[in-house]
Amino acid sequence: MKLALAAFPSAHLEKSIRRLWGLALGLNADKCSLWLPSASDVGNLRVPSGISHIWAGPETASAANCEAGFVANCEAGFATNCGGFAIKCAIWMEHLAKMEGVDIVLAESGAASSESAIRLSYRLGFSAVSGLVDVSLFNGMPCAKMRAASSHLDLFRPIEKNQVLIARPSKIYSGNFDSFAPIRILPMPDVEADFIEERILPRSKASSLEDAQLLLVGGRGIKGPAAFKRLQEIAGKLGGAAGLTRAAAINGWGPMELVVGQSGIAASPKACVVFGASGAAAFMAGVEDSERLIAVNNDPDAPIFSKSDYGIIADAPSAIERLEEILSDADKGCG
Amino acid sequence: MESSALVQALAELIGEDQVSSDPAVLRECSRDYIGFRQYERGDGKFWEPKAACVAWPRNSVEVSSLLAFLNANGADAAPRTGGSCVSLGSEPVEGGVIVDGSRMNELIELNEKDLFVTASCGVSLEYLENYLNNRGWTTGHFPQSLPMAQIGGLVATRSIGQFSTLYGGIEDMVLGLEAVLPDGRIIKIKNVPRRSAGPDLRQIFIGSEGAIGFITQVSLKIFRYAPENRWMGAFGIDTMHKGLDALREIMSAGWHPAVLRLHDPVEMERDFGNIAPEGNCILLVIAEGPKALAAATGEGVKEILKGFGAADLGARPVQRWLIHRNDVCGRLDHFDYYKMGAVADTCEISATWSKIGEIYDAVLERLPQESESLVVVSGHSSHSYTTGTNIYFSFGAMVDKAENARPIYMNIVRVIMEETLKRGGSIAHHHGSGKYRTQWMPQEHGSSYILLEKIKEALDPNRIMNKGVLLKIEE
Amino acid sequence: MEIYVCFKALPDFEQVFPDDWNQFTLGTDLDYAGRILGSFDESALEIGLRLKDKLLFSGEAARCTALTLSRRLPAFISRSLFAAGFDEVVQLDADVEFNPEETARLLSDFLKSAPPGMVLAGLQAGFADSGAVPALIACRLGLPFFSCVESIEPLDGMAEIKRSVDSEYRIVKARPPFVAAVGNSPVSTLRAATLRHQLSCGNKKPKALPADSAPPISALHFQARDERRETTMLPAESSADAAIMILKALGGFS
Repeated sequence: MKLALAAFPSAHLEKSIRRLWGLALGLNADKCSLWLPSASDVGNLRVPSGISHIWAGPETASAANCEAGFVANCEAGFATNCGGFAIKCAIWMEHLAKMEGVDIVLAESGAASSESAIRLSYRLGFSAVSGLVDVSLFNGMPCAKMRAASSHLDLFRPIEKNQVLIARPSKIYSGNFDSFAPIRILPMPDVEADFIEERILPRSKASSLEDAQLLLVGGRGIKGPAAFKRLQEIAGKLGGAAGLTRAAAINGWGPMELVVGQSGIAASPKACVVFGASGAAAFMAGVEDSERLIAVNNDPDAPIFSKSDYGIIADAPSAIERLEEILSDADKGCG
Repeated sequence: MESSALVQALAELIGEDQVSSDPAVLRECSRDYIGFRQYERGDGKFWEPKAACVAWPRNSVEVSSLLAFLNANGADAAPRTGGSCVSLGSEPVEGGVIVDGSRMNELIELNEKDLFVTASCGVSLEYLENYLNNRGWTTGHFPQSLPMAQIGGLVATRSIGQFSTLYGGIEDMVLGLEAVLPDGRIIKIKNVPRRSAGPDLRQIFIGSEGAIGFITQVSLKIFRYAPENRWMGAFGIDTMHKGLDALREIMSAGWHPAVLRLHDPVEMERDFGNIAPEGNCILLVIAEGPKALAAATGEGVKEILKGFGAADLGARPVQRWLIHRNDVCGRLDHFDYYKMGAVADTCEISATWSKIGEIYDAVLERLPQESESLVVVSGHSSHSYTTGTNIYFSFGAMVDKAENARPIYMNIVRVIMEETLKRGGSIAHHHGSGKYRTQWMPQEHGSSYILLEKIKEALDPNRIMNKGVLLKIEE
Repeated sequence: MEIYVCFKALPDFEQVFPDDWNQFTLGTDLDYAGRILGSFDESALEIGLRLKDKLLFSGEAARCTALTLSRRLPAFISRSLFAAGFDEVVQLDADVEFNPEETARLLSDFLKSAPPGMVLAGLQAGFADSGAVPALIACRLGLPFFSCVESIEPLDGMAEIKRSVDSEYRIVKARPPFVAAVGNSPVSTLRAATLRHQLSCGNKKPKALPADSAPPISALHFQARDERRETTMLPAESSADAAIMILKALGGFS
């Protein structure tokens, strides 16, 4: 079985590859190539020894160690009437998949990468299997493990040929990457944009939540925007980040992009404190990979307690207020 | 008396830690969950009257000295405990004192020989119920406010629970009580199984809504807790009238299921996932008690329902209801309706069998005509008696701005009150009349309204206790 | 402008008995749990109606159709859609779960014959939450596709689409037709309609159309998730205690 890993990072290329490689190991591929349509600098990229070669996009065309004779030509007829970045990548990958006879593509999920991967699946006539968190053996068969029914269920679907797997892995491969793989270049197809113009505005950094070592999350029980502001200040002092549940964000207590849970960010911090959330499965999907999970809720029967390492029965906004006071006093003490 | 002097005096009387005039604390302790208040708060508006302070007495003696002082100084007192009120019943009077019994939370005695439990007014019902369950007992009292309510308030509002068809309302459960009169006198009504020694004095306090005294301690009957014996079943039935007839038949046949609920087609679709045939009502039944009795009751009820052509929907809708029936407590002040631009609430009335169906029909017919922005109206019967039942109306209406939430809301309530009174029903089945229904109290009681006046005059001559409930304020 | 919004009415998963998750198969009956709109779909439905309102206000023609793939669409949901302002509710008569290709095929076969000005859908919907259906519809219809949409404003025959992608907003100007997948949006609730308006919508019924769906994907396995941990409850008498306990539980992090 021929496998291709597709990573679309804007930064942290190695981390992306590690996420994918951890899953690829479970697939026992005969051959595995790595596709990097948008990586800007792959010249010195170290990869696991199981990667046979790398296909890179146009920005790396000048890479010094490009494998001789392997600058493939983009065929004519690529141009279509629609498509932005995602469709360019999809066409680029389609070309590679056909050229190399790839059976399974394993891509990383993300706004643009998921769209590319889904478009790729359509172009190839493959099935899109998305939301894969792990590869598990089920009846001896490697299966894509996914969440279903708002994270109440794990769903296992056999991994077969002609699938594009779109992964949101929770684990990261930590072994050594000590090989260099030959790099081959395929220029991006020239595709007209499918919009008239695009403006880009910055927004608060949701990505800092995903990478935070300490995460503080406010649910409906924090009762208002004031407590969320405090959470952000506390998180700042402790070197962490603050997010909120979808319910709290809908109430307008904090921005939507800081929503933690199935419909937002899935974090895996060393420690996570959840204030005033009941523990609905769809929310827990965002915090359950925390190494240490601490719940603060005034309802002793809140289901979140049984899903946490530590439980504290308390009124969330008051506890947050006191916490901030303690930390301010500590600051003053140090100053 | 001036606010600051009042606060100072109360602090000296019962201790500084037991009194607060912090605006945030006051707002918390003045909170009432009537629909329009929730809407107003959702909009960031606070039109509740502002009390001078809140006082938390720790025992009957402190309640006594507190009330005596307020009485002597003509200061208003607004009693409260758990704070789950939905009828404006525990909002304070401007400049008055909130007397909060929630720190009197001692579970005094569990008497397993004589089958009663005695608790201070601030004991939470949920805590008490869990405590009893762990020892094989139950209060049999399961109002929707269970996660919030405390004993004093439950008695003062004449609360009822979801299992009332077997266990009765709180008026059937109170064995004896202790209360403090506005002049500071502490009175006790002893625990006896029954007596014939004059009128039942407990009933002066049960449902008094804090207007004539402060309930400090209550003894409640306890019952064997055996949920494993429960019989559960749900049924679909064509029309509300047929459903009401079926309830009547069940009650008159002598069956006493603990839960007997009839939800109209709107609620069947919205709250029960459309599980019954299209357009049907859904009927929920739980029978409990000794296993043989529960089973016989369940089967007996089922047999009657079969006669009404009811569709058997199995036990699962009831099981689900049982788990989620009090979820609303966790959603109070979450502004779900406000975000939809709506004010919403419930309003419960009762009447005899011959009138209840007419009231339901009349309300459903009149409301869409008289409330332009009405979004939904539905109803269910949840507490049946041999003589009649209640209807618990739910309604929602769009609101353009916060100041209109109250008039739009009260316009809907008016229709429900009028249709009920017209047919001799009662305007308040179990939330207490509160302050929002006071204007209809003279019609509610007719010639007996004078008794309320006289009791008030006798026990609270200075009219300091919870002004605005039960009795219209004389201008 | 013909606006089509794809939506799905789902069981309220939080109301399902744990036992049903333990024994879950594709045939498990969860009807008792009640049905609700998927949260992203609900946003998409309201955004569709707001677009219609704005277009009508500026004197342009606009119609909104809600489109679902379901054998059993509860009447109260279709009623509330009509009452909220949908001109039509189309119900394709098939239940397809865990098969985004098939879902997209059936929806786009219908949309091809429509043909739409805009197609809106929630970014993902349960059970599977694959997130693949809107993009696959765009592929099948050959239309531009925009994901993670927060809002759409009409703009002189075009549309201004606000997307929130990773750490930025992308404000895109595009010309219909296109497909937009609505993600976490501040527009979260479908408007309520007055009872008078509901009554005036009278007996409007969804248009049910036959749909031949392929058999479900075999060899899917389900397992209830167990997220329980061994919990240590830390005592806190006051909120100050609670704050101290939080710091204690955090250990090295404070």
